[in-house]
Amino acid sequence: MSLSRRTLLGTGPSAAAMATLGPGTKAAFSADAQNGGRDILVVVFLRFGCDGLTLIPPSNDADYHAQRPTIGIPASGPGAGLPIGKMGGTQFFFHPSVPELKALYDTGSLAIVNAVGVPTNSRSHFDIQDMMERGIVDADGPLAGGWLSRHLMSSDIVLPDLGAVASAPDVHISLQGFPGAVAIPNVAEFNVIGGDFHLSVIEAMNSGEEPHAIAARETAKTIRSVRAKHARLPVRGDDTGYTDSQFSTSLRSIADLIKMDTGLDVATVDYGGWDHHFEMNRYFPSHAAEMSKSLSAFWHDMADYQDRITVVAMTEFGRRLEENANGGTDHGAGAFMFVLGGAVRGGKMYGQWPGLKENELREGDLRVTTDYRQVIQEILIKRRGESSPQKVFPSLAYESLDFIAVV
Amino acid sequence: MGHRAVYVLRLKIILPDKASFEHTALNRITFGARQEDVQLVQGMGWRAWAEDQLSPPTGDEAEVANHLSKRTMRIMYAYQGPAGDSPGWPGIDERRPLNYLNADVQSLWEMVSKTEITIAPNERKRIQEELSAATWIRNTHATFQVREFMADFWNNHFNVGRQDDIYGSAALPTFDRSVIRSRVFGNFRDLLEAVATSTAMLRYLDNAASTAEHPNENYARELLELHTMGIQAYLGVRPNQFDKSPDGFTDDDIVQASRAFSGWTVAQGQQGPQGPLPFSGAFFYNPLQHNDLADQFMGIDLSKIKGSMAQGRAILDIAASHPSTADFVCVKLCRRIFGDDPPPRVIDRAKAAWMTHLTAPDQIGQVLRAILLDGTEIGQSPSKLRRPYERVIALLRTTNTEVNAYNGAFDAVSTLGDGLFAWPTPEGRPDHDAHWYSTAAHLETWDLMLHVLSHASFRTTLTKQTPKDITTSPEALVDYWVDRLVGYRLRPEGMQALIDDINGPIGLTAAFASGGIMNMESALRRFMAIIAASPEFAMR
Repeated sequence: MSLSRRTLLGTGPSAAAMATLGPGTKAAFSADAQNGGRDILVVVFLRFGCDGLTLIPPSNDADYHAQRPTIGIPASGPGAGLPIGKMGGTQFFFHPSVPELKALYDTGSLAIVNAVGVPTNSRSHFDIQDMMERGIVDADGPLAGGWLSRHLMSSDIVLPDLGAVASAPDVHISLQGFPGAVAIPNVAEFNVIGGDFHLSVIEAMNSGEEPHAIAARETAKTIRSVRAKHARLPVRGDDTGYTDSQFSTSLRSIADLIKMDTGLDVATVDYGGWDHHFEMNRYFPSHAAEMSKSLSAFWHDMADYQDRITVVAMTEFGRRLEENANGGTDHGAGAFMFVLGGAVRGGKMYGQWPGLKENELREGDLRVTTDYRQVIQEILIKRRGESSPQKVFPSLAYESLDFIAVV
Repeated sequence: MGHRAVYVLRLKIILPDKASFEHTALNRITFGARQEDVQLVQGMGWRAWAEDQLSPPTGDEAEVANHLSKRTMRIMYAYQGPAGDSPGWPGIDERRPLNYLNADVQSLWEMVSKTEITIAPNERKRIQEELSAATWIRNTHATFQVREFMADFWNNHFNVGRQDDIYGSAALPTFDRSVIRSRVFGNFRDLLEAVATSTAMLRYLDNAASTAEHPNENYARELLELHTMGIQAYLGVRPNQFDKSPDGFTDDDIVQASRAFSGWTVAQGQQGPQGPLPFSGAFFYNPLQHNDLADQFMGIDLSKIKGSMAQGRAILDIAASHPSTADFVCVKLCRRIFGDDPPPRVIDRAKAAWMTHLTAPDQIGQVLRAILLDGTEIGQSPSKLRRPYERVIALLRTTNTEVNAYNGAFDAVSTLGDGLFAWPTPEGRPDHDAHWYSTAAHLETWDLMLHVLSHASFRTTLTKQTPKDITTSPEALVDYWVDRLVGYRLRPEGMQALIDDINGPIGLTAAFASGGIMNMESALRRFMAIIAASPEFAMR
């Protein structure tokens, strides 16, 4: 259970076996020796319920404004949204504080899946974040590990030391269960005081086979490997667009790992703080702007790698349509997902918009019309060579939304 | 011969292969067992020691109070001239006592309301820094260690961590002092209401801002999901209003509870029944903010319950006495003490004591007796990974280090995700071993231990503590300090690694040979941090 990522150490297939993927899957992604032809997958979790109805508002919708008299984003005038097109007859906008996301959308790199989420009875942050990381829905029984680790193991993917990285203080649940997954919050500062002298004695003391000792040895090994490779990276200029936020730092660290050519294959990163029960007009814009700037900076930093990267961003739920008395919103259901990538058919919204009339809602919430697993599944099949999707999401039938073109 | 035998006896430390019952028991329920603690318990007996611990004096014991009153912490900010509506403030660089620690909410709110006008914003940040400093000092130096352990547990269980709410954060010292610390061994129902009416929690989970028109659901949800029955008892959104199970709660129960608790607020300048309320931060039941449409909550009809606060109190009654709460909180407490898989018999005893003593004023104390005294599990082999903060405090305790107030150490622990009063979200910091197995957590914990022992704010003289006659014997040095810090022999590879380190280029042998006191002291401090990176020290 809690020790599974350490106890699941097993033997993977040879690299040669990996190279001979089936013809059906092979055709779907560009060949690249580094990752066995797979895209590098970056998973962004927007924790604590990011409100899609504010980030991507349907600003011409009268029901929207009726339920959100003080926090609704207007279609015109001061604070107006940035129009981005229609879905099911409804005109959508981006929040005015995210022009960089709009630019990524307009240039076709960014796609939006709307009214997406977890088919669940719950409105709990903790329940649903957990479900989304494990890749399950209400009806599922317990499944081992997170969805990312099941994906890596279903295809018997063998990764080098820094192949699966949580850009965070801890390995995220989605990656737990995969042996060798490591947490590196900032690769630029990844070293221990005392250097090699310290590492050597720590390694020797931790020679046992209990989980703590194994993890300590892995840490020492990872530190050595990261230090050696990071030292060879060229220094960036000043105009990268990254900010000094934790989210930017985490994304820049992932970019460094990719440039270090260590075989980074999957990375996870969080951007939390979306639990806006209170004064959304005051707290949401700067928070969204930070996300927009950071994602855009990462994408431009990755100019040489864009054709083999897919970024997917998700949040556990959208928020109640009706605003609360504090200019905030309570927990809801339907949300959005972003998919950013070289192979993404961006500049378009996917899924089905259920509408915001009273009879179109579920208990006051935007309905979930697309299962979040469909989005992940399409990426795994089309860009990651996943040939056993039923091992990742056992209770899900595959339906393509076609936000990624089949080559 | 006789002379020689004494010499050998002094040189040879008897380092046991396994921790003693007393040593393990102490480590499980304190911030680290020192040799003198083990000797004390061996002398008076575990039961007598535990009973003594469960009846601490009100407030800090004299020695800790004295310590806190003498400690100072640097504060520094630049002069700010008049700008806009702000007359500005003078620049400051001084060491100042922990003056905010015992200030009440009203005076701190008054100070905070002037920040960025006539008072520098660093002053409001200082409130939480002083509380962190005091907590480091108490955890390290308090004799009544079980109270410290439980204060840490309850502060995390009822986590209040919103750093961007300057008024909520300003209420934290009062929350810790008057809500948590005075009730660590008390009655859970009483603790629950003290939390529910605290300025810190009312601000943190938005109940203070709830209104009659739109009750805010945040507190009501976390009360049921995190403070009492737990997520395991959450049945989700049940559209069928009549299908109500007392076994758990639905989203509709949360909506009803949010109505019941609306009006539980603090006086913060809003309209009250007799005109505007003062801006004092004090708890206030405001009928103008109360929504009285609550009906069915977990099988009871709230609409029949009249009187101010009566509906909310009825919900606290149900939640506090629900068997799911006994299960959720007792399992959580046992995990804190025993690790990921606590002995089922201990959990059963704890739950039984919880339910038996539901209305007793010392309910929590009785639960602890059932855990600590009705059985011997508490002293059996270590099974819980110390989180980074616990490891640092145990290192400070076992090296007889005096803690002064130092922001840098608090920041370092916060970076690790183990900061005090700093976990951002209401569920509190996770408490399973694997959470701390990540590469980053290891690395930063190793650094932290070295960093803390190297800083002048942590005063110790390891050279004086090291017996003179063992400085030329690497084996004796290892035995002596491993005995002090860990209490039993490390695995053979570990013992050998420490001996090799002593003989190595930056080891103790070279430092002692140099004769320089600074060399010896810093080499010893580094050596302590290394022992603290052993897997044996990491477990309690």
